[in-house]
Amino acid sequence: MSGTSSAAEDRVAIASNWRLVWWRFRRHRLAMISAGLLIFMYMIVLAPDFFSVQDPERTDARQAFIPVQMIHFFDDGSLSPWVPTITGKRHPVTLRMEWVADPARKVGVRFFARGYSYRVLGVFETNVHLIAPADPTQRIFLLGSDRLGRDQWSRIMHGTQTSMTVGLVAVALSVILGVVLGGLSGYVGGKTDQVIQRIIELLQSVPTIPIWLALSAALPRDWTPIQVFFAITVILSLVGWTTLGREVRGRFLALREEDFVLAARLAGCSRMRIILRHMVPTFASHIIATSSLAIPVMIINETSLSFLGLGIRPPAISWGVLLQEAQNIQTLALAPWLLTPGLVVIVAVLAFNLVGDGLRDAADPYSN
Amino acid sequence: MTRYIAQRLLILPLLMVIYSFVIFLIIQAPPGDFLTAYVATLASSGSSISADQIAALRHQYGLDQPFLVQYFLWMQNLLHGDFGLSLEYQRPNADLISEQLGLTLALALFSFVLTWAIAVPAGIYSATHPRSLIDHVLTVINYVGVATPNFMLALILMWLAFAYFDINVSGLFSPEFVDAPWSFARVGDLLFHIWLPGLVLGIAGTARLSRIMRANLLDELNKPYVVTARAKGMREWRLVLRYPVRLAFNPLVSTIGWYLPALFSGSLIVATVMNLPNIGPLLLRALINQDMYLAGGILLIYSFLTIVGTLLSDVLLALLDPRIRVES
Amino acid sequence: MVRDVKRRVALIGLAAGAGVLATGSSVLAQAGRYKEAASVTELVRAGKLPAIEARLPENPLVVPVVERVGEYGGIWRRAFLGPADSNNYIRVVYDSLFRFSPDGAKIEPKIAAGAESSADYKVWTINLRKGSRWSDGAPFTADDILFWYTDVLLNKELTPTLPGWIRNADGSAAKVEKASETAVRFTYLAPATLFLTAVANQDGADRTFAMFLPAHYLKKFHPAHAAKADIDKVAAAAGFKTWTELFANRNAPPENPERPTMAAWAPISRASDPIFTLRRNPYYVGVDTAGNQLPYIDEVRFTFFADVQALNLAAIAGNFDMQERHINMTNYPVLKDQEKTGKYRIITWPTFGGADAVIAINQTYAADPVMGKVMATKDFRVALSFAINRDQIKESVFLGLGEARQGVPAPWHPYFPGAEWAQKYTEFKRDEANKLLDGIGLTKKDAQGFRLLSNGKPATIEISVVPAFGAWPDVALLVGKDWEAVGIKTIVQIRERALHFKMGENNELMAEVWNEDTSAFPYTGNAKVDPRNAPILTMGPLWRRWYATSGKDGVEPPPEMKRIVEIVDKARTVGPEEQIKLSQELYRNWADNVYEIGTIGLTPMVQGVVVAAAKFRNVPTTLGNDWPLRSPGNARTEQFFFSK
Repeated sequence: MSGTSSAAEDRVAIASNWRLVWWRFRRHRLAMISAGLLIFMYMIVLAPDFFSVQDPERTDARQAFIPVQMIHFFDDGSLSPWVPTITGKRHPVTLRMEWVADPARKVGVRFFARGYSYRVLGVFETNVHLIAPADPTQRIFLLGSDRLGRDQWSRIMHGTQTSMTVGLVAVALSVILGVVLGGLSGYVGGKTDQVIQRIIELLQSVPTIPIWLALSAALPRDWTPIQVFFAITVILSLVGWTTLGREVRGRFLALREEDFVLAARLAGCSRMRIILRHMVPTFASHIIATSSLAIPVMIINETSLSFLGLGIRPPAISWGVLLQEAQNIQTLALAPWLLTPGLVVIVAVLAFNLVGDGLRDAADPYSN
Repeated sequence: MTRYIAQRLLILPLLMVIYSFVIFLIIQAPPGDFLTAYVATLASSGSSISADQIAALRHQYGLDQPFLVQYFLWMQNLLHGDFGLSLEYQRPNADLISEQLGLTLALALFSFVLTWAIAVPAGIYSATHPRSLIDHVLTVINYVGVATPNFMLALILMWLAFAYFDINVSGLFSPEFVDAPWSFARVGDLLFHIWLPGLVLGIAGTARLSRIMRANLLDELNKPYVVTARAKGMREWRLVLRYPVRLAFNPLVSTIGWYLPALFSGSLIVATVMNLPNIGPLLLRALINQDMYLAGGILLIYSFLTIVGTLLSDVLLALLDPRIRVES
Repeated sequence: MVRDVKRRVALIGLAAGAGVLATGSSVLAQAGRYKEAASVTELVRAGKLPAIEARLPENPLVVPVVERVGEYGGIWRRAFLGPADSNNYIRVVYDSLFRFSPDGAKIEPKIAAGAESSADYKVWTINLRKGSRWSDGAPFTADDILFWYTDVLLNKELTPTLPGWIRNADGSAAKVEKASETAVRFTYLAPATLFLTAVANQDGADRTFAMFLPAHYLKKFHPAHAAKADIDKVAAAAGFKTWTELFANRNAPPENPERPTMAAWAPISRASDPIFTLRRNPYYVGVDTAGNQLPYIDEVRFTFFADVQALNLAAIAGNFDMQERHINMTNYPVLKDQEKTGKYRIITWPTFGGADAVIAINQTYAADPVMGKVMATKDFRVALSFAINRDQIKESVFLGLGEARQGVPAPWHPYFPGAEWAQKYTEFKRDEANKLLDGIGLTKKDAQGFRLLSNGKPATIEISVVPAFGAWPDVALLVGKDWEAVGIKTIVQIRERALHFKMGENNELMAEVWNEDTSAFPYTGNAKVDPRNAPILTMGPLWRRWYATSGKDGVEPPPEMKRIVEIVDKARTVGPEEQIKLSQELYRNWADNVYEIGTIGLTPMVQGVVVAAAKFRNVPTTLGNDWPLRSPGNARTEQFFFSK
């Protein structure tokens, strides 16, 4: 046995459970990449305007359905990013907007340049953007424009903010509900268990759609789309806690016979304290892994419901709203770049799943 | 065990009563009623109706009665096995539901079988050849499969089929077969149309299932009995199929009960987008048009299936794995 | 050419209806002059149908053809959205005594032979075609109208409130009598100059009863003619609670294929089936100019679609022979692009006047009295109209089609008040808007630049919008931006339609986007200029209550609105010239007060993009397109045919 390995063993021996999880997680390369990606996406959530090229709500009838404009990084051999100028006109017969790129006329693109001003987290005002046209009066469309001439790139950035937040908040709420109710059910047992189990079954048996319809009608009408969106998040979690609740219950059923729980009970701890301080920590890592797997489900739910026109509605922007606006033949046939939010959904969900799997493996003490 | 099942069965009627009330509450919660929705439909297709006509129809359909009265009337009819009359279709709800039931089940079963037929072998292969190229490819496909919203997939596939192969894949039948009597030709037509929706519906389930299969099987393959069997010279495929696969199956089989309600509800959006004759769109329309007795009837069936499904899952789990203690 | 929407149409006495209408020519009524489809001849030979002379009336309806005399046969494939879309059927068959001509300018006899009125327009006589028959072969006579009158219209259970067109000013029903086996006399207390306009819409649309019913069939479901106990038994067996439900169901052709009709095609399956099929009616009263009995087409098949996008994809794929309903105008570029495959041609039928997106401003908004008062101020509405950049809306939402206009009739219509009124306040004048808003005292602004009301709150308007014709949410978004630019805070709420309507009924909407159609028919149906109808537009729900309660409740309308109502009542009883004069006054008033702010009109947005298979002929390239015209019914669908 060499000195270093025994030092490592010592390190392991004294490391906290969380540290062990982290070490194991770190070894999971895909999960690490995904985690990095998610951190980047949550940076977008914090300041979508910084990542936007222009105001996502800015319309211009004369700039509808502009295709993707690729950034060219070199101009005459020197590093000077640009996109070609485009000119468009309506086809006289099909009435379709048709765009021609003119590479001879260039629109300069700059990084960390000035654009429209915005507030970061509602605190301070700035007008610096990650990417912006060198001439602020010009417009560039890195992912094309939609039917009203809005910039798809910037809209995706703002959609990211909404959809990622919905996922996170809804899961956070469901975790709280799931742990408390599932814990009660598993720990107390008897009638409480029966009632909670039947409530779970009821919630799982009623498809989300009617709850949605009822909800969208029951919300106060003077609510802004933002308020509606938070209400919808809450409802998502009201329905979504059941799976976790069942799992937690199962854990509790197994744990409540354990000695340490008995010891705590004999020491006179309250029920809530036993649940929250003694039992929950033993499977907290499992809960986190499950939650990170639940976030993508929430995101898909959000997109599905917005897609049906029952979730978040314009002028609020979410991935679902963007997809819903792209759900027509005109888009599929003539403006396929408007489907990019779908790709973003896939990437985000993929990342969450990979991180979730990585966490689950890492949290499992029996995995090697 | 018998006592446990009996107990669960005994509270079933009580549960159904509670469910029915909650369901009625939900379908009644949106403001307005069938006629508000009907006026809206007319208006949005360029027609109009006078206020007097609306009032007359509202009275005729009994929509001007208080909530509880409407609920009790509904329950009274239900107890006589009468699902009531659809306000929109003007036909008995039981007929409407049963008409859609056959094809709904056919599609659900097809996608269910497809799911298992793809997921199980893929899972077994991945588990027995971990970290091989094919395993990696399957893993990527699985992740993407879970991550893609199926309605989007449906829409894109439909467009591609039209744009590049000039075929319209919406619906379950070609126009000439939609209301034709059953024949070999019609079954053939159905088989030609069913694979795409079946695949779209099954893709997420397939991905999830094969991942679970892979994980479960990997766990089993590391167990001592496998090592022993292998050491004794048992042929590899026979060894894998005979014991570990069977054990890895257990947790999956126990979830079959959950498929019962999912058989219906899973297809709601896809069936709408792909224009499939299905209970999903029927429910969606009933909800949007506030055809409440139809929506209520379908939701009641859902809840019933859920209760039965849960019971079935619990029983299967207990039967398959004696280690699980049935609590009384 | 899409832009070529202005047709020159000679309009003659549209409103009053000519005193006497030409009855069908009987020149052809000699034996051997009529021809029929081969499939029908077979049935005649087999003894299942009488000969053509016995099936046609003495003086059949002669239907002019659009392109040429057609050929028999074929199945017309269409799409519909299920039973709630039964108006799809209603519009295709347009089963009525009289119907509008294709250009919407005239009312012509269809099932009926003609009509005449007394000099004072108080007494109208409808003449039926002698020898005409229901689709089951039973004779169609005056008794079928009398049955409707006595047993349906005057039956309080079936008709709790009389429809306006048959009601006298004192609330009583006009008198209806049998003048002969084939003539029915209607007697009103006051002149009824719009009688025929109303009759042209009495076709059983919207779950109402048509004014002619197959008495021989329906009597067995009516307690005045059959034992109540028997009817109740049938009702219970079919799942109905009352005999009235049973009767309504048995009477509705889309719900009951047994019910005979007078239309060119009669249902053989139900609208709740996956395919709703209509089959040629061998007793149809119409023939073409060469004496061929119509319709040419054997069957009409409506395929059910749960989703409009799937329907549009099928249309693009060429799965329908002729479809205009539910085709989204935004798909026009794709359709036009696919036209070159030669599968189909695209025809556009711009709307029959009005505007295809208007923003109605609630004039009786009570939830916020301060804002409500501002909204009821004319200068405020004029300012909002000036603030809108209609050019942007036209380009973004209407593919560059149509013109900026208020919701008044089209230029070719006699009620057209003149171009200066159609375009009143439609120029994009932001400065003018700001000046007007300053002028009504909204001068103070908050930090975000929104104008403050007298109570210190920002002036806020909520536009409620239903994605009914797809593009309206976009209109609302664009308008909202324009309004914010002049300091009016605008919230756009996209709502589920039933919720929107419920809120409208409860006077909870501030503003909404809808289309202003029916502008050519301000006096019949449910015209949107008349606040007493308005179950659809949100202009003034409390005005409606004021009229409904004879002034006891609700809000009294301003003099300008009262004048509109006065005109509506008066115009129903005056001669054609006077009526045109009154109508023009009405629309000058309407445009000037901008209760509804018009945006763009005369586009084919509402059911005006027609996908017609290359072989599907005789579809007119121009058509008056509006609900009261039952388009495409007024295109005389029975003369559509498939060329070989």
